[in-house]
Amino acid sequence: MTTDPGFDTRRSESVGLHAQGLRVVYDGFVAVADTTLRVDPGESFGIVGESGSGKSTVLRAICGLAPMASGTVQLVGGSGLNLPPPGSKPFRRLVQMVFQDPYGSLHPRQTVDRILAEPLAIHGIGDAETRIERALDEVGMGQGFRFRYPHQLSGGQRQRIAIARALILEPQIMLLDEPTSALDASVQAEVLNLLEELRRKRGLTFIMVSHDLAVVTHMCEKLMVMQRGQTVELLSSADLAAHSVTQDYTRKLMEASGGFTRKVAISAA
Amino acid sequence: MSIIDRALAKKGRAADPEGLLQEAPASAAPFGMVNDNSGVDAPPAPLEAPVQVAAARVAAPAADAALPIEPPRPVTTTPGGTTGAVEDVVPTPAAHPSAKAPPPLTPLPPEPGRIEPVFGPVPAARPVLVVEDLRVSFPNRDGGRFEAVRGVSFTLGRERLGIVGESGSGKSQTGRAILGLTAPEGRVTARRLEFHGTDLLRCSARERRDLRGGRIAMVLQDPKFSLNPVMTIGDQVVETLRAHSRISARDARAKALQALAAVQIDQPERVYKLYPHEVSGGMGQRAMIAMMLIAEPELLIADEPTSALDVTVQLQVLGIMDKLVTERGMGLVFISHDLRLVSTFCDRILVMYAGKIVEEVSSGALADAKHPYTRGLLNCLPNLGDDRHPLPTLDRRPEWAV
Repeated sequence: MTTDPGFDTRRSESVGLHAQGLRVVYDGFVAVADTTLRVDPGESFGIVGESGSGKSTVLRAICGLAPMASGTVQLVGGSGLNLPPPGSKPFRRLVQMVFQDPYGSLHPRQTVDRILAEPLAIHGIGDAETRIERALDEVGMGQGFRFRYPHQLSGGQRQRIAIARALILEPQIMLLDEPTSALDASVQAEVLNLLEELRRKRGLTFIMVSHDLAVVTHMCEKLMVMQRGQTVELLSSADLAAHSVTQDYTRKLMEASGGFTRKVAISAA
Repeated sequence: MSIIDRALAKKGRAADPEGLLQEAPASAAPFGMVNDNSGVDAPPAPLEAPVQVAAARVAAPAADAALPIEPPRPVTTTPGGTTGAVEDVVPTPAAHPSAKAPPPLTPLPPEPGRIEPVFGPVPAARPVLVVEDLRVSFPNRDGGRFEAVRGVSFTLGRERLGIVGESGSGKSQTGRAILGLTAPEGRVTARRLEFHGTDLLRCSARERRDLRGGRIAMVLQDPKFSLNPVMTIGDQVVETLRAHSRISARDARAKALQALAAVQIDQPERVYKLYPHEVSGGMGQRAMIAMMLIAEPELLIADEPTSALDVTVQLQVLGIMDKLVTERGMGLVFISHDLRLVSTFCDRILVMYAGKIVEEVSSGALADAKHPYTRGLLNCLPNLGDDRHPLPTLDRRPEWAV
């Protein structure tokens, strides 16, 4: 199954992730400033913030899509497994990402079948036929969708395909970058339920980014609030649900997620 | 309309041609208050001395002292809905900028063709928009036609009406049909489609064009795709203005800058010169709202105006729209898929499913909504402090679409 014999990527244990002093700089602009996060195996960790707060960049840095100026990323496993270092092929297989916009993250000229076959080919995994069928089943799409193009699918269906593409490599950590913000409220519930079910079934670790506090508290046990590349607050979902937050910024976000009231609109302005 | 009235109006406008676009200063709050025995429009924004007589008669409610920036609302609404319930009870005028009549000093009998402010959730005699049995259909592949909107009827006064539904429910097509923006192959029919008594379906293309952007405006979902990428933001705002009124380039620029300032853009001079790709989503959306409001429309159709924005920016944009709508007393159709957001913002909500209105609820009575679809839409959102795993999803039943 594994292509590199040097690393043990058995799925017997969930895998966690520690990132230490993560820093991303673009042309002198500090997008992420020394962020440290510890995600235990099997945990679901949320990152909240507004656009430009660097929350997506953290995910991209973890999976190697954004250049890291400094800092370390390390996988941690329960029973001292030999876990791959970041940037290696087995690491990329273990850590998969689902992007925000299902309209932009699927190749418009590839069928669902080809989209799902590509990661298998890259990682040299055989048995594509059954794996693709299984992946489609797992995300609740019938085999009838297999030879369709992305434009023939609805937004929710596309996001399911994006999730299937990540799952087909049997990752242990899923990086979810606003997986439902482009979807209708009713479809969002379906996708969130799907993700939760997959996590339970496979013991996955989630790192989920969202600007919607309610979504993150629903999905994650711990969360981190970011603003302008800095960590504002680390807290548990239970704290947030009990409204015991210490930072003003978090409180502002919390009020904002309650919907429109004139007072909030004025204070936000 | 008397000559004196005209003169006064002219004077008022000359003294403060852009007064409408200024943010209401705290002290201006009473100006918006109704002269309660008149029932006609009070002057918008600060005007010259004669108007102040009218303003002086107005008692500012105590609640305004607490929230000085809060503009009065033209529509009484939502028992127990939004905050600021105290001032909601005060009947306020629809200080309408584009009502062509000048600000009267004494109560006048309503003129024919003149819009009166509508109080209460049910639109009174002269609604802004009447839609009856609106149908929009598109050809499908096997030669038949697919009806995206199937017999939608509603009446809109000077209020905030929300239209809620999932993608494909026909909510956007309803908005587009009102504006005449349906794709060419689409067919729009209706028993009545009237805007201030003008039959929109019998209008010529030219008349439709004059209305569009002038008296009816639309705010679109994503500023990334709906702004012109090769024109600066300032030029786009000015274009709207010059398309609908004869105004010198210099005045248009001044007005555009004021409009940008009115939507709380910090450095309007700087933003004026920027291209859409150089600004953030929230800024782009604000620029679009400025563009739509500069022609002082009487009806604003907002198609998912905040879906592409962050939660905090979303609130800012809604706050701006709320203020402009209340200050100008225009009708607003707010199209969205987020029932909870709409319920905190609008007075009345139409819930659409498969091209039809399945339920109409007032936003205060959302908890009493009867239709399973409405209840489903409300339930499927995760709530802070809720522990529901898995989330309830919509169980779409075929009989809803009948």
